[in-house]
Amino acid sequence: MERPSLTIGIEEEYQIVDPETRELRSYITQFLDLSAGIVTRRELKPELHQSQVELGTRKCYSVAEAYEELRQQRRFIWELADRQGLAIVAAGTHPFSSWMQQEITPFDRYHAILEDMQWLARRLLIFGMHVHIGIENREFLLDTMNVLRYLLPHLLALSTSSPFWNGRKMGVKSYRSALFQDFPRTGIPTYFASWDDFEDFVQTLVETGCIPDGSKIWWDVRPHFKFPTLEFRIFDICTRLDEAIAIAGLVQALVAWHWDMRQRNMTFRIYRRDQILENKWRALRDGVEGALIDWGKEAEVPFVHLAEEMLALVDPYLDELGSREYVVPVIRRILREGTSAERQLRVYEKTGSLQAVVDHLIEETRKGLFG
Amino acid sequence: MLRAPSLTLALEEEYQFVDPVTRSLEGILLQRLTAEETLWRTITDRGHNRTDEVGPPVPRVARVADLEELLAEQRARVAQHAAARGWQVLVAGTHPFTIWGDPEEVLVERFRGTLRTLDDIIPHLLFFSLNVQVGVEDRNLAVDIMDVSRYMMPHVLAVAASSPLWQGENTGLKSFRATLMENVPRSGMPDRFRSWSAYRQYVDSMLRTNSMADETHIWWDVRVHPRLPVLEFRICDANPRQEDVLALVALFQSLVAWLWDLRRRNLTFRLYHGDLIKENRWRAARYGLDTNLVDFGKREELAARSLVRELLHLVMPYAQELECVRYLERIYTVLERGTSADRQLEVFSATSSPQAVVEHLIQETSGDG
Repeated sequence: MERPSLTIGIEEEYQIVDPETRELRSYITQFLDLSAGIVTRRELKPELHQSQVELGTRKCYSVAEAYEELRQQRRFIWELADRQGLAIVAAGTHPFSSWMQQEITPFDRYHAILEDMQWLARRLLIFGMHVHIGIENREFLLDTMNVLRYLLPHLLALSTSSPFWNGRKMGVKSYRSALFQDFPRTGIPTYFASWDDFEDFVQTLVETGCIPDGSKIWWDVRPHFKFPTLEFRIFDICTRLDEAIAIAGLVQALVAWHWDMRQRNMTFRIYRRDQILENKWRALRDGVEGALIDWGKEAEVPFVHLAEEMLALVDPYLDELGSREYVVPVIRRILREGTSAERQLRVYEKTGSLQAVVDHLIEETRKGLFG
Repeated sequence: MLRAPSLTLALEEEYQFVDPVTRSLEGILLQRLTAEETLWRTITDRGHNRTDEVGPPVPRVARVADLEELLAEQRARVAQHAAARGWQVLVAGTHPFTIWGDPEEVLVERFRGTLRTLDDIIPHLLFFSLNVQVGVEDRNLAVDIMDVSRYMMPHVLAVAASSPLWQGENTGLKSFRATLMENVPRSGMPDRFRSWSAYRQYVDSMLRTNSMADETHIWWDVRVHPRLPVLEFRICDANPRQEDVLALVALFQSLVAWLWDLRRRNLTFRLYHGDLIKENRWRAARYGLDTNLVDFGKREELAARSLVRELLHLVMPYAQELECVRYLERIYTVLERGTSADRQLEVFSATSSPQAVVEHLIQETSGDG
């Protein structure tokens, strides 16, 4: 079996924000018109809500390259917004803009989603990050999906950035994760015995009119329906660029770890989806400040310890992948100082103002893009 | 030798008390069966929360006909209990317009762990269920029937939908309750277990790790009851009309009898991937009977109504044996005339008034509908 290429691709969903009112601005159709005249290899992808824009990096061969590429991407969208007097925010939810006031992108497919999902879709004003890791062998890809499901809550805890919703502190770190659960085909996938098993599953859904194709499966991790990549989708979008890259680098290293184990006839144990879900709830509630269950020990363990364990697992691969400097110091900083969610909460505690939280988010999103 | 299930019956209903003038929700009454007694709990939005004696313990009964009497008595007692406080009673999956406090807040409270039991969550989200218990004493058999019967839960949900309105709005779903339920930990469609020991192992590990306080804190669409010797079906919205409730009870009883009979003949209904079953669950919650459900054996979409008819055909011989055909046949009427959700939507589209829907539900609940 060929070693997987472990390429990295990152998709992010950004908020378009008016820096005066700090509200979300419905602007994607104008962006699309504007960028139509620009010669660019970047493909702006509209989303259901007009105030949301999605962009994806090209396939990168190293974490260093992904860093540069994501920086360019965020700069591109920042500058496009800036020219219209708008700003970009990278956070899982907007602190106060109401979903009831958002315009829907006037494309047929969004109206179709709305028709299908009704009330649930209108509320889905959430922003995530998807990390693609290149794994060419499908059996190994599926094996990796089965195994790394266990660590999805851990990865979520490192990325949380949606503590507010509709103007309120929700008492959780990732409200985005809570909202997304109402949708079908979301959350932690079940175990699949083989690639055939998975393909048969998708084929059954397509043949029976449940979905037009695999793109309508929105699990927290999924084999991409087109690219030979395993796509990790559990994350809130990270406000800080370096945190997004650290997490992407960690995911890449985890796949390398799993590959190495496979060479040695080892694997990580498989647990029931129910058990992983229990940890997901804890992660979305408490983020890095909580405790997850170590299902091997059947004990609650502070997340910080589990994260250190995770770093120890991938340590042997970081030098070879050339990603150590991007991963370890940043993850440690997150463990020490918290994620975007904790920082937002701190600003709110200090100022009592959600406008101040938006200002903070604009500033943090901008940080590291220029200079 | 494998012990035959007793197929004894019991049910839990949740009642809504409304103000006769404003039609808004003033209190709810939860009924919970334990091994020894029936627990009643009245909750009002002012946080009043007390246990009321609304009736004697509900005995497990052998036949749907026995349950019919008990249900009528129980509803009469509940109506008296409500009338004494100046309220009227309705039974449905949601209250059409009332909200108490802030549902969004609650959707996260459950993660904070402050709302640990379903009875803590219900007063905030205001969704109401009908839970039916069928006696299956052998624990391994119960797990087997739970695994297999997951497949039919969406079909039952399509018939039992009764929660299209929430917070005064048409949610666009026939059973909004069924999607709300999925927000509660350990709810929705369970994964497969295969044996009692696997089930027990799961429960024990959840308890050992402080993930749940008590073994009853599992609320899947179908569960082996942790303490009672029963299989419990929790997929149904609470339903206003008694004949609909009894039809669902008859369906569950004959379904279990059918699966038991298959088992004795070394047969089983095929087991499908939980996520495939969830597709049908979503369709049933979204569209009720007005959709195709997927027949995963044939791998094709078929009208929900014809699949429900097929299910009725499969279980009918057992209904005959159990003398509950006349209750079960009521489902044919539902297929023709629509579910409680359909009737609520008719009233709502004719009047645009959620109050009118409440009025309609009160009538159906009291048997005048």
